[in-house]
Amino acid sequence: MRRLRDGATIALFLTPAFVGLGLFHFLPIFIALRGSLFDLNLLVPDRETFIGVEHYMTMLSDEEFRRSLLNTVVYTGTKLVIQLPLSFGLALLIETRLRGTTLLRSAIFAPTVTAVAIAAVIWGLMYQPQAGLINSILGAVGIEPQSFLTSKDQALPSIIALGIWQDTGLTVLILLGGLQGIPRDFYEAAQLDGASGWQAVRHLTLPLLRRTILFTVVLTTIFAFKVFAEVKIMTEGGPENSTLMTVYYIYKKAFVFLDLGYAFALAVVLMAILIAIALLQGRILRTRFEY
Amino acid sequence: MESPTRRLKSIVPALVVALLLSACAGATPTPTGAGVSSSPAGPSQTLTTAPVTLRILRYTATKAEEDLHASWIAEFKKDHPNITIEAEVVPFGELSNKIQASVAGGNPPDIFFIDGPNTKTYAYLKILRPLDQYLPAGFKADIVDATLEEQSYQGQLYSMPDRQTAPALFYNKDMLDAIGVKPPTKLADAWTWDEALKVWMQLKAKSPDVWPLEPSRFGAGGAGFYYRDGIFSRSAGDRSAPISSSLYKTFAAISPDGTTVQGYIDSPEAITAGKWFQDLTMVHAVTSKVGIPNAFLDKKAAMTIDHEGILGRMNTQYPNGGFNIGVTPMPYFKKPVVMTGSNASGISARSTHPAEAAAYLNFIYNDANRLRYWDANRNMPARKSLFDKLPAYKDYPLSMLKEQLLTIGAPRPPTPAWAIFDSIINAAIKDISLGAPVETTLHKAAVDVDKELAKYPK
Repeated sequence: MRRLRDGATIALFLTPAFVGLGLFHFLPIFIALRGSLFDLNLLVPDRETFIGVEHYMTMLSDEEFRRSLLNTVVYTGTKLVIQLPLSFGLALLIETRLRGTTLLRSAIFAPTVTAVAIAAVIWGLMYQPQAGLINSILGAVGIEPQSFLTSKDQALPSIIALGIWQDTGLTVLILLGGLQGIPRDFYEAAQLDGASGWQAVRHLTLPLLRRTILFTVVLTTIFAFKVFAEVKIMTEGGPENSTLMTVYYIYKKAFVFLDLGYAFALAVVLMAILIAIALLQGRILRTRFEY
Repeated sequence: MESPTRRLKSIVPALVVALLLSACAGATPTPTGAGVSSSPAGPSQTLTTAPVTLRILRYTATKAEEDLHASWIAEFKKDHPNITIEAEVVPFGELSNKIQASVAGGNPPDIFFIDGPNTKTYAYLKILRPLDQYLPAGFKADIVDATLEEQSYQGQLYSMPDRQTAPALFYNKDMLDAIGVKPPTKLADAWTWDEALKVWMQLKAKSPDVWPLEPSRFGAGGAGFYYRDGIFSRSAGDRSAPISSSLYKTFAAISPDGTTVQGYIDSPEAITAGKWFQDLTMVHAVTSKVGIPNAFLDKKAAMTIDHEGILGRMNTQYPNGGFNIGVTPMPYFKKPVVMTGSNASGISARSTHPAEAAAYLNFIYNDANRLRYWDANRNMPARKSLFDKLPAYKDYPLSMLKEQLLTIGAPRPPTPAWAIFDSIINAAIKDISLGAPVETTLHKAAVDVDKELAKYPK
């Protein structure tokens, strides 16, 4: 009787969460899956034509989609390669609790709580070819002004730089949490065995932090794949599609081209790619240690 | 081993993309009074005496315009006590998204204000209701030609023109005086683009820190806004040339049947104009590659391509006078042309009170209220007879702007796929201004536009 009552209580508490998940996560996924099989115009919602997998076939020859996917992968890969080691280094530095690390922590985390739209506008101004802050600094040290967002070769790296600046604070925070969760005794034992600082990091910190690193990698990947506002505000995918990202492309197809069915199909493919990447990262970064 | 729950949680943010798109799909609406009433409901028809609520979606305007909208609602209510008007106001940039959301959700307002060039799209998709049966006698014939073409579809007017714009080349008179240049004031004497460039080069030599030509303030700033930058290409054409000629196609930018832009936006003349346009940023550096907010009014640029709204902004920014502003007709390559188009409003095809909605529109678009509207914002009227009632249009500069509108004004290429055309061509123009190969960029844009036009069969 009591077990039954406990079960009812648990169910009562869980219901809102499940209803929310169902309505706002799983139902939209179902709608997107279904919609991807129809020819749908955003402005004519009650006129739909079943076309099966035609949108998916179209995607195979969609040069812009391929370009957007390649840009997104480059953006994500570059962010992972630069942001994670940088975050790890900064987390270790903060963990040393030297003088000034509190200020450093605030400085690192400030961009994370800055609205991305505001950050994009400010960075856009900083990247201005003539009067921008960055070119002024470069000019002061004798370097020619750079085109940044107006160059098809520099626009993507410029957006990546903004992404790293904005998201590093969050990854530092997560890694810092992981670092602080590692029991001190492990390091003391290592010290007694004569391990150097670097050896402790390599053989203790990194293996014990694998679960946290996995979480950080997956989170960074998903955040990077969702990049949108920076592109919309700073480059609109240009020059020459050099910063066209998949989510921005989906947005354009849905809300500019009104091709809702195709946008659904693109969103479904993006979701599948993200699930696959998350699973792959989970497999690669599986941990052998529990503590 | 990571739990499946945790894995699921980790991928959930990605699903937001799907959620965003799905949210727009909404449920399939049940039309209430969808389709257009076949019974005549002209301006003299009897309106219902039952309580009616009309919902209006419009864009945020200046305080003077906002006050005017409030007055109109109050005055209309006095004559029609049973009709309540509820207005929802959003920033102009949000208007299109808001319309999309309300239509997709199956609950559009009775009246919505739109960007005029979108009229054909909304008419084609049966979102707007044709207005001819509701118009007062002579109203349609009084509309400026370019506006009428822009806001009609298959011979019927689908949106009421708020106002009209036709850009010209505005300049800082003090800066032009400093180099001893007096730009023409008559349309017949308009510069060619090469003559304008010569002046820009003089300006650059005189004041290297001031841009001779302001980068576009439209859209995202910088090149890539067809309303402004399409003029270069279209002026390389000739509307009076034979319809099958490349010159005519360059002006028209789209085939008469609306099925193709190949050979139109990428004609030999358009490519030549594109290369000239590209040189403005890449060779002569007389205009910035990126937008500079307020450059002209901040005296960081000597000239700007803008519409007469700039005069109002100048007065707002410099109520006690800032600098002497002048305006010269839009330069051209082959034949002068200016792109027209401004705000408008229409009645939803799903409105269950079209007659009452039409009565309100007829009220706010009557002569007296249009003159009040002109007082509030000083944008050009979209009806010919109103110019006669506004003495300001008898003298330069407004007389010249009016002449441009009436004689060389051309709507943006008329197609139900206008927004798509605009998006593709804007990206191409921006790329060209940043150094992309002109011919291949324009040709690719033409091919891409044609693909989309095919989705809008007649």
